[in-house]
Amino acid sequence: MEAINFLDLTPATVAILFLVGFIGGMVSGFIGSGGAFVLTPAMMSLGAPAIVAVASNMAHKFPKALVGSLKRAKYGQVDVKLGVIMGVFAEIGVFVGKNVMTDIRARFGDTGTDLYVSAVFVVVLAIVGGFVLRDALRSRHQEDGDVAEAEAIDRTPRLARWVQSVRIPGTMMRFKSIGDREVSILFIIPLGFATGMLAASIAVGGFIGVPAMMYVLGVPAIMASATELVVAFVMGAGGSMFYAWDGFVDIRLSMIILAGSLFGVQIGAIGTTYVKDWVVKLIMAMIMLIVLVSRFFKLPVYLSDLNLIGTLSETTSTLLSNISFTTLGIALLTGAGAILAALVKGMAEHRRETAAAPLEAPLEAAVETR
Amino acid sequence: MQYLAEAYINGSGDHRPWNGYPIGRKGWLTIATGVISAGLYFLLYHYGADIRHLAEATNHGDKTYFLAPIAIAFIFSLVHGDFTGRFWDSIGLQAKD
Repeated sequence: MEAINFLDLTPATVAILFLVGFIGGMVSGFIGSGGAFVLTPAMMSLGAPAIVAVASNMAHKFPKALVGSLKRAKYGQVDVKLGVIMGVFAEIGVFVGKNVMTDIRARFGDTGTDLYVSAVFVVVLAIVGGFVLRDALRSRHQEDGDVAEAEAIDRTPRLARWVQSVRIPGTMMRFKSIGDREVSILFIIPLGFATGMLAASIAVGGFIGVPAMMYVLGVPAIMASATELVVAFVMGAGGSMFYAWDGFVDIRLSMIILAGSLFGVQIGAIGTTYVKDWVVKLIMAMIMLIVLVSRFFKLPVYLSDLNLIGTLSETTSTLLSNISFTTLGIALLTGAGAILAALVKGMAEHRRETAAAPLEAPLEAAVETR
Repeated sequence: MQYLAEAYINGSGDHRPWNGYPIGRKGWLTIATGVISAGLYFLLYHYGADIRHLAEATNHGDKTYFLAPIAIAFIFSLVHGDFTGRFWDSIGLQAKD
């Protein structure tokens, strides 16, 4: 087997990892998934092989998911029952996905997994990013019009209404996140499996988990993103062990990222309490689509390295790698900027509302904080 | 710093001066968890090469310490997670009710 190529940690690499971790954590806390979708490509851009990037991401992600889910459970946003059930089936998906990765690495080496991970990124980001963007714009548009109608449509998409209407005796389970309605576990099993499979491939199961909960099961976006943190914890703990068994987890890398991302995840989680549902969706879509472009530019480099297309010149390879890295930086900065702007705006509005409220309210709040 | 001061005055009623700013029990806990967290990161840096060797040994078939990264991840996230939560809280960044 090919030796593992762990990153050499220079002060500059540590600083970049910390910063990337902070922004990734902020995104993760805000949209419930996706911390790793900026972190995996970032680690790869810094020189870590894809399998080490995915494994190290899972190892830093599951304890962070625990911290995030506990925080959001306090805000009443988590459906623990749904999260644990999806997480258990996701675990099976992680096991299968991890075996696919190690098989590819054994046959084609690190470049093989780099290509596989990047290709999965491009396809998944294009589908999910496009879908979430369309939905965000629609929700925003509807909010401008009939609020009651918009909320009704937003809460229960057409597919989810059908899923909730299907009765399969012996498989029905009740969940609080869908208004205490029942849904068959047979719908949850494939969603959980796909979430785990994707998590083992790109360290981001939430790309399937969150939209699946929203559009297939009918869970509101804020609750879906919070419940995904439970799924991420359950499957991440197991997935990390699968990868750790083969020694692919670079825990130094994971913990540096964790240092930054735990600062970020708290801001992200707090941010969700100040913004509307469609804002979460819009920011999620924006980041996804920019990261897609970043990974897309890297594909020809891997294809060339594996001799699947004509060999690229050194200059072209470097240029494409630099474009990919820069685009990723743009995704990180615009994502962070959008979340911070939403948070600051939301806090300012809240402060104005509190100031305008009767005198009794702040007095009560002050007593509660003691 | 205004939030910091307000948080501690409102939060604990403890007005002990520290560099001109009141630091209450919550403030000291934030600092204490921060110091422990920093200590853990120092150990991680200090034993970085050994940790790397452990991963390589695991990859080459010695599974004795394969759970070590998972244990490290848990300890760091609990300590550092606790610190970061307290940190934002102490500077006045709190969730909307």
